[in-house]
Amino acid sequence: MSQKYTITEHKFDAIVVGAGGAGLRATMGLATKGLKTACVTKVFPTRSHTVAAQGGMSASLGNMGEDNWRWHMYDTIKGSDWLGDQDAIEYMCREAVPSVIELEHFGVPFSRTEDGKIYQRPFGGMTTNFGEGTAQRTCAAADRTGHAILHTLYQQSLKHDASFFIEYFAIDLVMVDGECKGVLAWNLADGTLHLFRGHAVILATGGYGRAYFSCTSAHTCTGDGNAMVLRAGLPLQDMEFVQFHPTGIYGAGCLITEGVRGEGGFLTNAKGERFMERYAPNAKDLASRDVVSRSMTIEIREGRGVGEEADHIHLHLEHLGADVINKRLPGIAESAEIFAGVDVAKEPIPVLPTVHYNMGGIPTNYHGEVVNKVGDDPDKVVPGLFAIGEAACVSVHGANRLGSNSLLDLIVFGRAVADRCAELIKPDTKHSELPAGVMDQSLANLDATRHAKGAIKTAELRLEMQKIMQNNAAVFRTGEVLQEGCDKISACAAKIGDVHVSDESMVWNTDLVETLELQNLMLQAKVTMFSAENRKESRGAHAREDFPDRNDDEWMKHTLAYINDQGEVTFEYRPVHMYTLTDECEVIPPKQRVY
Amino acid sequence: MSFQSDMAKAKGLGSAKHGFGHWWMQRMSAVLLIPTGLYLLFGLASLEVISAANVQAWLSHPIQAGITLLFVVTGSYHGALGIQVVLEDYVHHHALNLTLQYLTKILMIVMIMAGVFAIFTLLFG
Amino acid sequence: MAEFRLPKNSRIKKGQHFAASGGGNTTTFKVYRWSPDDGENPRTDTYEVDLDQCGPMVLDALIKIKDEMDATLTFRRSCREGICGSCAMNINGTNTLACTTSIKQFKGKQISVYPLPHMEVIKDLVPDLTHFYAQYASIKPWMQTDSVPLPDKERLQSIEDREKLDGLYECILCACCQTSCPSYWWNGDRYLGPAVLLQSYRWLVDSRDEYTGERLEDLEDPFKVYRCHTIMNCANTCPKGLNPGKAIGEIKKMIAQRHAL
Repeated sequence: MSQKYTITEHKFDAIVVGAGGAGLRATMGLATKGLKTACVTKVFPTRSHTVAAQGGMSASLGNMGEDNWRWHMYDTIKGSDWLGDQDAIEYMCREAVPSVIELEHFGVPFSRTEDGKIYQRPFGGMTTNFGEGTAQRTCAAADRTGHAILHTLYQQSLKHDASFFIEYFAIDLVMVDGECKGVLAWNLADGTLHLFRGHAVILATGGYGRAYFSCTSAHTCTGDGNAMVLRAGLPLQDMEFVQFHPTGIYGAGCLITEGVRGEGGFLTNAKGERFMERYAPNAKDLASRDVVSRSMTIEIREGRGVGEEADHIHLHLEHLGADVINKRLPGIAESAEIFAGVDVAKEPIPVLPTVHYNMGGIPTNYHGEVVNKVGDDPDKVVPGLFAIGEAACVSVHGANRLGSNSLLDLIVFGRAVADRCAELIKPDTKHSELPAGVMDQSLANLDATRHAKGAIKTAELRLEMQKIMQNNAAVFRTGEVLQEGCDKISACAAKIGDVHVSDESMVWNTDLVETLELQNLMLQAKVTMFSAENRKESRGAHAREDFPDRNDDEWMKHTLAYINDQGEVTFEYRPVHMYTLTDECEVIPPKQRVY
Repeated sequence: MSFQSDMAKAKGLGSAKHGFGHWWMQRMSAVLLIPTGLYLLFGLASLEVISAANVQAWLSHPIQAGITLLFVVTGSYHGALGIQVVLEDYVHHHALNLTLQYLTKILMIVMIMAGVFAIFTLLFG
Repeated sequence: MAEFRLPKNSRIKKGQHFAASGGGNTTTFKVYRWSPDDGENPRTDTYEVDLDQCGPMVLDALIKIKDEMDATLTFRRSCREGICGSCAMNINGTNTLACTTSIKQFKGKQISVYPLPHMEVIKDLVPDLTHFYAQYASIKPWMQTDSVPLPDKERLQSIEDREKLDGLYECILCACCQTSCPSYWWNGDRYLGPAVLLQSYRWLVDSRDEYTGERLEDLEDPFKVYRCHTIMNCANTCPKGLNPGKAIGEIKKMIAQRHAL
């Protein structure tokens, strides 16, 4: 190593990595429970990508008509294409109501109904009476719900005594004998390294949308926690399931909320036809996201796309009128104007299915405890390690997430993990001594990367990876294309040792940050491609043209993907939890999924 | 290098729990300066020849003298409030700021006294 | 005392020039650079960017520069859709978000990119916003109530009362307005500044909050609020189209009401 690095040690009861919706909810929950909590985040909390969530957060409040958490549970299971764990889904849908009420009490500026209650809008896949009617279940603050929730959670964190370490980049977990003991992080502002010791390390690091070329995700969505877990020899679950949001702005990739369709917007092809009526006769434009994205892709493939190249689709909201647009959808009117040059009151928005969400992630139980398959035990808890939010795979979203279940997931499991930690950890418990050299590998990689003088620019290699993912792990997949993808991504990943880092400073070295993020992305890209190749069926967001049907006999199971130091991907499987948490609801057995 | 916490710096000396009075009086005095100023302007403009004798004669009338007095007092007060803001904005050296603030107030009192004295002399002298 | 020249070690020198690799449709970006490591004065580097191979926004150009020409260029960015507030910077004299500022509007003229003005610079285009964040925290920007809401019901709020929060809650804390305000330049240590006051007002008018009086009491101070001289740079520059100046005016009105004239 070219230089010795001094590491400052901090001792806390719990460490949260990431300050998005899940991380902040966990942080404030832990602080409220009297645990000494540190939140380590690479961006200032209100810059986390939760801020970009638009449409809302589902909860069966029943403010706009009768609703029931069991209906919500049914929709979520059906949306997950029966890959979701039903105990966890029951927990989430049941806890949705108190979670959203609590957010309102914290001060979230929800839109209101005439009688002063929280306004709820329809969203894709959300029904009443087990699939019969359309539910208005998605609690909204205009079309800036994520922004409203994230800011409120940050404000609550300020109110409670949590320590924030802002613009600290988390490098690696500190693992001793399979237990998580803390996390190593780098303070960008002054270039120092810090070891955060905690009896619980909670990863709330979000998804890895940036593994793809076109995504709605922020530049910072690089799934750093997922990669740390892989490096620790632990698996990621169901990584083949990548959600394409039907309505990313053509070209720019920025998100246009499903709430547009919830408020009455619809999609048309080049003939001006509302084609969703053909694909989903009941739900039409409000079918589940995977269904809509596939339908759009088929329309484009069959030559009915709009535009000069016939390569996108139109999203209409002109008919909604200025009043609805101003009141309910002001943010997307602004985005469409800036990024597509479109006045939504007069013209349709050009849209395209765009990578949006990772159903896969770190396997956990419904307490947020990270689990691994050890021997015959598929639910073996990894002591000291937790994961929540998009980083985690609880799995409540299974093979496909319903819109507005994501904000819900963040809040419910952010809360759950804090409760669980309060049960497990006595405040001020002593920390054990760490064996020598436990961080050597991480430091060596940091130092080597910082001084890397290879032949390839970080951005160049990143682009290569993103193009491979975009081309070979898209909306529709075939064995052949995926196999080619595996070869290509392996070859691409092998080049990571040959990158070139120009900036050698330790202070705000974003060149190094981006390279470390690329290492993280690369691991996940690889695992995603291999998992997709491995799963020989179609389920939810994973649509194989060579295996067009769902195969419950063989594949109703979670993929666990591991990657070793040589970069080899191996698989294990965990059964889907086909049981509920209580006897207040029934297991929903698999059936055909039509909208 | 300061080891003070960010919050300590942000909170500083805390709220003075006043400031409205200054803001309000500055606006009220400004409002009063408009009619009195205009009256003075038109009054003086209506004189055929602006000479010391003519102005003295004009000011010897009780209404004209009263309004002019109001203008001088309000103007001095308003000016002093304004200068106070400018000093607060730009002069951060504490002792210098205090001195200049003090001098401003003295100047204001001197101007008011001079005005009162001049007009009373004209009226009664 | 107000200063009219930059201190010696802050005066900007001429830096390197990076020529474009490709076509003729180029625009020159003049970018402020400063590294904390070398003890040098700041400089401006110029980069010629081929617009045919570049996205439409200034942020796209900065990313292209970092990716292809000079990986050491340092700036914050995240959402690239104008909602996270990371990439606030001064572009051709105006504080704004690089991700929503189109290159086209400058019609091929040179584009100058500087960090937010009058802030301490950590590196290149990254200013230190610590004090701004602490000021934000100092106004207690969270719901304060004495009465306890029903645990299983939301607090009720009328549509009209909720509308009062429009134009306030959308703030993304990018600090564009804060650092465009001359009053904040001169008295940023004590003046709360437009962004923080906009947030103060957001809580003052929230019908659910019960600490309006306490909040007003804390605000009434010659420096915290009354440094606002209605210059209105804040409203001109806000990339989200909000009007902090108006919110400050409303705060002053509320304080006036409290004093029962």
